[in-house]
Amino acid sequence: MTLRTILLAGACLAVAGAAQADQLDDIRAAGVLVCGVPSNYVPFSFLENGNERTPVGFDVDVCNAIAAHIGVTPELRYVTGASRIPDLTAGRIDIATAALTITPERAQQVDFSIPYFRTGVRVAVPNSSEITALDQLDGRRIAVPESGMASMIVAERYRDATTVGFPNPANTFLALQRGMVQAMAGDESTLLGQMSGAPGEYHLLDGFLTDDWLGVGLRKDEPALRAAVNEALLGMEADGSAVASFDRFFGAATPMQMERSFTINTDNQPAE
Amino acid sequence: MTLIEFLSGRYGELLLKGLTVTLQLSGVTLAAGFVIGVLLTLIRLSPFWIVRQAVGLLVDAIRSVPLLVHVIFWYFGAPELLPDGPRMWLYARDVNFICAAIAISIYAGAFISEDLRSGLRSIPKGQTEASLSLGFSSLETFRYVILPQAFRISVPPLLGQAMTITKNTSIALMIGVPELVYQAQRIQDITYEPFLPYASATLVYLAICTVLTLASRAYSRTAVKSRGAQA
Amino acid sequence: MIEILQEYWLQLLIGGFPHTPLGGLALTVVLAVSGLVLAMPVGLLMAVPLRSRLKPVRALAELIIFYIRSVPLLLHVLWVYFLLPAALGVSFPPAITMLITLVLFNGAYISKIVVAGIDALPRGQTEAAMSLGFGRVQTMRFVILPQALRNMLPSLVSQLSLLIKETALGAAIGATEATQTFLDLANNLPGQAIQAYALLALAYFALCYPLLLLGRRLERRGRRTAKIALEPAS
Repeated sequence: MTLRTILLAGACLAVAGAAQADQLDDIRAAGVLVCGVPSNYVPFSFLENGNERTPVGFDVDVCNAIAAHIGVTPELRYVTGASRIPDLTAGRIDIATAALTITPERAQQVDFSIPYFRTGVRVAVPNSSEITALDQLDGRRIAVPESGMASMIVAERYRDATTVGFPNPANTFLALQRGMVQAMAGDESTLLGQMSGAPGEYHLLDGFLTDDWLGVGLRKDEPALRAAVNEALLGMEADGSAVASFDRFFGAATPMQMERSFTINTDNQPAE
Repeated sequence: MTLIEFLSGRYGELLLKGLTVTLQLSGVTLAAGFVIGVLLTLIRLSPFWIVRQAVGLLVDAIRSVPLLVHVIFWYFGAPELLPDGPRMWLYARDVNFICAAIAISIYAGAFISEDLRSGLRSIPKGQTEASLSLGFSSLETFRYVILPQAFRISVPPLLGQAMTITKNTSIALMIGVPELVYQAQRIQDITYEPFLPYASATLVYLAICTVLTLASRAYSRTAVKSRGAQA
Repeated sequence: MIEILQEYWLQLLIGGFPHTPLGGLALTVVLAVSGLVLAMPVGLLMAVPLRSRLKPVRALAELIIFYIRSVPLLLHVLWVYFLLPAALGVSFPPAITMLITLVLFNGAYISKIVVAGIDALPRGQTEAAMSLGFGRVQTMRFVILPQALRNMLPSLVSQLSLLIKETALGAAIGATEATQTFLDLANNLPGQAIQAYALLALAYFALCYPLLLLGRRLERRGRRTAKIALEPAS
């Protein structure tokens, strides 16, 4: 195969993705829904241990439910924190189920589904830490996952703190574990997911820095697809699969032991 | 937005910060990489076969592994192996920068030692024989006759390494060192507009490489001239 | 280390495939091999305008190649991934993006190696071939290139070992090649992270070291023939 044929093949794929009247029709015609997920973002998207390598996680469940509702096969593509919105606008993925927080800035680039998960930026410290409250963080070294809500809010709120950004949450937590930083800020679920790998060694400081909702990212002006995605999300709530998935990945049986403080409905509004 | 408007705002400030880190990291790693390269080369001149082989294998091993893997190892792995005292000392400092600098210096050192070694090899054996027959000891021969020539021959490849190292420092963004490309990506994250930040970073690298290329050309021109004068 | 291999060998080898796009060591090898195969002809092609008789063509080619070589590979990757779609309306998945960038980047270096290899041959060779009635293209094809290629083999081989290592940058755009796969695993096995990194380093060593040895052997064999001085690359 020459470079040219590869280029041409790629170009055809991309044109097929871009020249659409209605994305939902195209997805139905192709029989495949391409979801962007992180490669390793416990418990939203990860490979289940061992050589089975089954992709699982809350966002994977969301992707599967949407594909099932549309009646097509789900297909996973990996995105990074920085690439998930460009990947969507460039047509590499159909929808982003990638723990994407709904923000006004992002809403200028892409459309969002109804909110499907409530979270917020919190701060984790080692149990031995002298830091006991959110107002003691100025002047410290704080690790954050890049391209997330935490990286923006921490730099804004703690002007004398050193914010150290990492390409993914796992590396961020590793920096905290190694003692390279004194605290880690991130979405509550992200922090709990990472902390579950080291039970009993870290805790969250009381309170939230932000009140956020996650939404499915969609290309702009695709009302039919957006409606289908919203129906699928409401369907997850109605048939109990949203609760089941929450319990499986965040609930009492998991090291995270989170309680579900929300339901998926059409009235949830992300704070401006 | 034009490039000028873009650069005069707060994004220009971010990029300038990034450039400072890139230049600092490049400077530190070039100097340290050179020292490591010279040391490795000297050890590889050892009379003991086993030492030469061991260091040779070490250099090859370093060169066989991607810089990104070096950086990841020195950042996420190596500090674990330190005793508590030095580790806490390290963590109280800019550990991202320090670990990136160590990784890039060692990687560059291995390549520089290869350059120096081929510089050494290109000096005809007759030089050593002539120098020894003039009454120089073998150490003196090395110090006063061989080494200066080897360095001179190695200058163009070393300037090439300076270019390579400057470009390689961009990999440090993967462990959160806020260098030039890191800042460009950060601006992309804020504005979703990658063109201006990437174009600015690209122009900076072009400028740095232009300067180094001109320096390299100027050097080979004077080197040719001085060799001509000696002959 | 043995435990990691027993438990996760398939994940390290192919990532989440077939549930996700191909990843792991297999992606690294696929990228490296197709990169090697494509970069050679592209490098030769890029060398043609460098040897053009028209000065503006030469100058433009030099400028483009200087540009490619002056900018970090990581930045090239980001350009192709994030800006090419907007500019051309064409977007490539992460692995194809890596391949395109690797081929153009290494092609630029190879074109310089080719030109240096040709320049290192004595002019008499061309003159002799021309006087025997060979045309310009024939001279290049049958007389100059075969000799030049032999001389530049060591440099080519070391360029190729660089290409293998450069595939690691796929991690920056979500191509889960070996480095990203091992990194993900290390993150999920906090106690065994160092073992995972060591395995990763060993894997690259196994891929690159044979090329390093080959390059050295070729260089030793060819030392008596014309020497080619080149900018080092790493």
